[in-house]
Amino acid sequence: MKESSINFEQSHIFQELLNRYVESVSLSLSKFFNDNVSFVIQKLQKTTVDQIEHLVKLKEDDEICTSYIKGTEDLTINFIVMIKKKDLEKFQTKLSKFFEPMYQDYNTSLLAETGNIMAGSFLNPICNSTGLTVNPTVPFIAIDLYSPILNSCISDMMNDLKNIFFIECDFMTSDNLVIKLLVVFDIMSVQKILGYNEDEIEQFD
Amino acid sequence: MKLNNLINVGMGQLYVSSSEDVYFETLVGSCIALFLYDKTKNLAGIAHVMLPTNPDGKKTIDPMNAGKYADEALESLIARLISRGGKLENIIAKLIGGANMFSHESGKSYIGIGEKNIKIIKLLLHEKKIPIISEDLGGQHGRKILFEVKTGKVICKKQKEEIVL
Repeated sequence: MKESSINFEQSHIFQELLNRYVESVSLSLSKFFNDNVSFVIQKLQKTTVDQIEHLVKLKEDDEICTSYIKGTEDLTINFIVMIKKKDLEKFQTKLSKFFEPMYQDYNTSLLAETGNIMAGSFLNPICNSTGLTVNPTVPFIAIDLYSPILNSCISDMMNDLKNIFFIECDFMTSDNLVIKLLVVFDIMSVQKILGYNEDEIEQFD
Repeated sequence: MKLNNLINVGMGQLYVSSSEDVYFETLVGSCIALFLYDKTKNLAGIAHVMLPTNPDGKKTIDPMNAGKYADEALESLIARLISRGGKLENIIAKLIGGANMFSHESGKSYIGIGEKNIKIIKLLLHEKKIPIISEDLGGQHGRKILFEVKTGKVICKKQKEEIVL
């Protein structure tokens, strides 16, 4: 299978599938926060790893809290979850209704858990519908300026990936807490997923 | 500080200048800002290095990514400085970046690209006999860097700390 073999129709079908995966994340976050969490897909396109920095609309010196998870095995799908540092208190307050802040690294744990929930609920419908396996890493956490964090993720991904399908999605709670999710699919993984959804492609035809 | 001739150096980019009023600005995490400077000519170059070498094993053709890989970036910077009248024996280096930004709950750092970048750039500079006169490397935080071509001075902001190199 050639890397460039995703045509317009397949791309359209994949966008439909992505809506389902993102909706699954939204439902899980709604349960996690006990709130109605809506979402907006900001970007969704075929590109290369090194172009990601030009796609995300954040200021380079915005301070952010990040949870970075890499998924490998049958499919390669990476997740970057970002919350602005100024919203960290809101994030913590929201979850402290359900979790007792008992130890020093409470924020780190909440970020890690949020990353796990988002990556898990995104991957579940993919793995359930295809039977393929994805093994996610533990979430890796960084709290720093946006640009160096994203650059570090991009450098790391450049070792294994070049042509990708990129998604940027914002999830919003009722009190305007915004959680940004970046998902990076290896283009070969997109082709594999599409291969398991040929029925839908035929229906589209 | 608002500067008129400020060049923002993005990921993988490379610039050379001999204009005294030019400043280079960049932000690095695991990447390394590699500065080469020929003081006798006030000639300066910067590369925003992302990885030690090209994982494809190919040579980068895109001029906008000339600084992406350490080995190519160093060769390209030296060639451009020499083509503008610089001399290899007068060139000095300053290195900033190479952080390990990510850690998990055990406190253990992750990824390790920063360390690899540091190691390869130091080795390559040693092979070229280019002295490293100052550096701020490693750690767990990103750095915002301003380089003044006129003086070769580097201002590096890291969290609330600001150092001059």
